[in-house]
Parts: sequence; C-alpha cells; structure tokens
Amino acid sequence: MTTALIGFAVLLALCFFGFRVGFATLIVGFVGFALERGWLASLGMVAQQVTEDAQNYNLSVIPLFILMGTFIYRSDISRDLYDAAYAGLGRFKGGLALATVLACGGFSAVCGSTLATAATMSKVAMPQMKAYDYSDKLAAGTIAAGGTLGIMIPPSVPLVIYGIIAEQDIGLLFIAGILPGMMLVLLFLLAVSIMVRIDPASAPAAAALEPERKSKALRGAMPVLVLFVIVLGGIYGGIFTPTEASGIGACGAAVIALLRGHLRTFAEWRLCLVEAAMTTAKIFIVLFGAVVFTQFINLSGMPYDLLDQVDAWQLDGPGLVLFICLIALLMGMVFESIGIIVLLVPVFLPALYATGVDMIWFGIIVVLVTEIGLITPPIGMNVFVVKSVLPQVRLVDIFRGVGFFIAALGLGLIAVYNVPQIATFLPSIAR
Amino acid sequence: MTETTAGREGFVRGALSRTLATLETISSVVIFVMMILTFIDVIGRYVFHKPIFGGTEIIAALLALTIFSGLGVINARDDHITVELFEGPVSRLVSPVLYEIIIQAFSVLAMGLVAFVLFEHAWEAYHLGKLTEVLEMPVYYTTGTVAVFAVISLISQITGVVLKISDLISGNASDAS
Repeated sequence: MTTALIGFAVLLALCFFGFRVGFATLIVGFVGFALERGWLASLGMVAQQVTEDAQNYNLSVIPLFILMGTFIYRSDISRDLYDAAYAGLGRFKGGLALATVLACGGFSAVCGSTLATAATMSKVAMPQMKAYDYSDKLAAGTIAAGGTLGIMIPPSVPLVIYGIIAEQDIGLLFIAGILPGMMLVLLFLLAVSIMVRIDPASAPAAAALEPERKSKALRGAMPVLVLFVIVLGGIYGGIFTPTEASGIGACGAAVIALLRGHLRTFAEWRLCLVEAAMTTAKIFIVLFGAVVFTQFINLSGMPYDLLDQVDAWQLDGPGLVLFICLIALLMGMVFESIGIIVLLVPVFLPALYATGVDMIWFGIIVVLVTEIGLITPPIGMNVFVVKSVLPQVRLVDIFRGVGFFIAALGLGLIAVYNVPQIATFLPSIAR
Repeated sequence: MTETTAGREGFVRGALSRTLATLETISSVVIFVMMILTFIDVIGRYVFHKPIFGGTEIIAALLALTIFSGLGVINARDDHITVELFEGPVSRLVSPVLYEIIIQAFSVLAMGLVAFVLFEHAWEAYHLGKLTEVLEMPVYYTTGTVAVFAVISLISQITGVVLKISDLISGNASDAS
C-alpha cells in the first residue's frame, strides 16, 4: 500500500508541475512495477499493455464516435438545433438561455464532446443572448454548463473508457446514461428559470422566431434526432454492438454533413478526419499510461488493502460509492474526466465488486461527478473553453454563472445516488 | 544566428512540417478506411449475412495505426493533456527554458520507452512467426508498422522539442537585448 501511495503522490506532483498526464502515468507505472518485479518484467508488461490496448477492437468505438462528433460539429447543424429549441422554449422567460440548454443537450447527443459543444454553442448562442442584453453571467454560464451534458448523454467517450476499465457492457452504459442525461437537461432548465426569477434583468424578453425560420430549424434539426435514434436504438434493440453503432453513426453524420452542403471538398474531409485522429491519439496516450499505472497499483496490492480498509470501516456499497465520489469531486477540481476515471476506478474495483455495487449505476455516478469537475474552479475545462471563444467575457462572470448549474448537477448526483433506478431502469429492460 | 545555422534550422522546420503533413494524411486515410470498413461490415452482416472476413482484425490493426500516426503529430506539437496547475510559477522559478527542457526530456523518455517496447514486441513476433487468429497474417505486419510509426513519432517529438527550446532561447535572447 505504501509503494502505491508514494506512486500516487509522485504522479500527482508530476501532473501538477505540468508533466504531460499520459507520459507521467506511464513512467510512474513503469518504474513502480519495475521496483516491485524488476526492469525486464516491467518492460514486458508495458509492451503487452500498450499493444493489447492499441489493437483492441472494442476500443475502436472511441475514434469512430469522435469522428461522428467531428462531422456533426462541422455540419453547422448547431444553428438549426438552437433555433428549434428556441421555437419550443422561446415563449418562457429566459427563453434564449433555456434554448441554449436544450440545444446543448441535442448537440451533445450526437457530438459526444463537451468541449466541442461548449465551443460551438459559444459561437451560436452567445451573439443571440448578447443581442437581447442577457447578462454575461447567465449567458456564458449556461453555455459552459450546457456543454457538460455531452459527458452523460450517449455516446460518451468517458463512459466507453469506464466500460473498458470496469469491464462493463458499453451498450448498457450508454442506455443507462439516457435518463440521467434527460434529468440533467431538466435540472439545467430549472436552474436557468431560478436564475432568471432571482434576477429578471439578466434575461430581457426576446422576439419570437419567424414562422419560416421556425419550420426551417425544425426540419434542419430532424436528422440529429434520426441519427441519435438509429445509434442508440440500434444498441438498445441489440441490433448493433457499440463499435458497429459508432461506424454507422460516423457514416450517418458524414451523410448529414454532405446533405447540408459540407464535406464537399477534400480539404474539408481531411480536416475532420485529422481532427478525429489527433483527438484519438491524445486520449489513447492517457489510456496507455493508465493501464500501465493500473498494473503497478494492482501489483502493489493497494486495491485489496483498500478492500480490507472498507471492511474495517464497515462501509457498505453506497457508503463506499459516497467515499469515492468525494475523492472524485476533489480530483475534478484539477483533472479532466478521463484522467479521473482511469486513475480512480481501477483502485476501487475489488472493493466495489466485494460490496456488491451495481457497476452500471456506479459508472453513471462517477461520470456525473466528473461532469461537475468540468465547471468547478480552479480548473473547469468548459469554463476555459467558453472564455477562449468569448475573450470579452470575464472568467469570474463565467464561474459565477455556473454556480446554479453546479447545484443542479449536485441535485442530479443526489437523485441518482438515492434512486439508482434512474440509471439502472433502462438497462434492466435491455438486459 | 549565422546564415548557415538559420538555413539548417529552416531545413529542419520544413522537413518536420512535411513529415507532420504526411502523418496527418496517413492518419486521416486510416481512420476513414476504419469507418467505411465498420459500416460495410455491419451492412454485410445484417443485410447480406456476409460480414467482411477478418473485419475485426483489420479494424483493430487500423486503430493502432490511427493512434501511432496521430501520436507523431501530437508529440511534435506537444499537444498532450496537461493539468497546468503550478506550471506558470514553477516555470518562472527555474527559468522557462530549463523548465521546458525538463518537461520535454521526460516526455521524450516516455515515448522512447513506448517505441522501444513496441519494437521489441514486433521483433519477438517476427522471430516466433506468430500469426493472427482469423486472417492468419503474420502479427509482425501490424506490430512492426506500429513500431515504425512509434519511432517516427519519437523522432518528430525530439525535433519539435529541439525547435521549441531553440525558439524559447532565441526569444529569451531577443528579450534580453
């Protein structure tokens, strides 16, 4: 246990000092394993782990869903999604902000990237909200928080990575994310309503959408719904495996982009494909580091020592999950979602299995906690993305603006924690 | 800077830029083929009851190629996931150039380790004559190609690091003057 704790301390120090997360995890795992078993054994372990993961067919779901998101991102569909959402919610107070939440939910359902959702919506929704004098706090806060929906609403890369690490069915995890994702959208809509009620001046009334633009938007947004239903419906109905669904989804997204007048040149195709490949490489180097580090942690016996500790503290399953949530919340202040999942989940796996925790439910819980980390200071990735797209908005205003959404996410977490069926109901039918 | 040094540096920058463009093209072609193969495999399986023979193995190999061709570009541009909590203060404390050298040397070491183990793994597969399960294709075809890409990644990373540090030093020099 001591060796593992030293390993964790060194790793955290390296990450905090700016060493690249993937490389730091890989080297700490390699050295730690070597100190326990020898350098040759450690070299063999790294070779085996990296080769296995790099050629794991099930992991091809990651680049293909990223590609699907990239095509959707480049298809310029966000404008229609936003207008369609506004057509439905525009009549309410704070309608533009409410529409932003709904559009973020819709966009992330086919995009899967929180950062891309926040960046896109910053460009689409912010000019509209500024035109009607919405406060920066409400407008930018809504966009930063709305972007986080992508991590829960399937397809979600963090859920895939959790599924691989915890050896859970990725399809079931996606299905499990549907109801919590929808609940979060509702909670975010509620958060906007409360913010507007407290400070009505932050959201002056905006003009209704012209009928022509309304019908154009609804027609334009329809393909997103169709793609979502095909991908998720295919997985839910047992027609596709998640990997197959990702291939179908990527091709479908390319067709949508083509029909919308994009991807008509070689350069456009190249841009999307390169973007997806680069994001894939970035994620996989963290994944390689994580699997190597996990081998070291397992060898050190830490997961089993933790299991003994859980027994000694007489923690039951929910108690253990609560304990993990607290650690994940702290980590979320500095690490991004994938980092938290790959470092935290393997350590607690034996204890989670021993206490009989439903691993699908736990997956949703852990992803929800990492979602909070995307907008909490000091390092809230989505807040920084919005700031980079909207440099005129003060960082402090965005952080103040996400306050109510953090509370909404907290409420969502409490709800899923206390009523696990929110996450497990749909998978139980699919099983 | 003398004209010869500047010319040499310009050549290196040009070579790196061309290498990265090539790696980007390779990665984009590979991921595109992966998408199309997965699509055809699904349609073949469910519509014609005839999936692509060895489709899973081919897609798995393409995944590895996507990762390692992409890694070359990511490494050279140092576009990795970082936490950046104390980066600013520490960098100012030890001097930005020294800080960058330490950080990048560590990254090069890690990538060197990956390239080394992949090469060793490919070499072993070649000597043992290992074959894949379905296509019965020599395993070293994939592992060897991946290892070559890992080495190219390492070289592009080292080149990118040297140029970045050289920029930092010349930036510092011009700041001082």
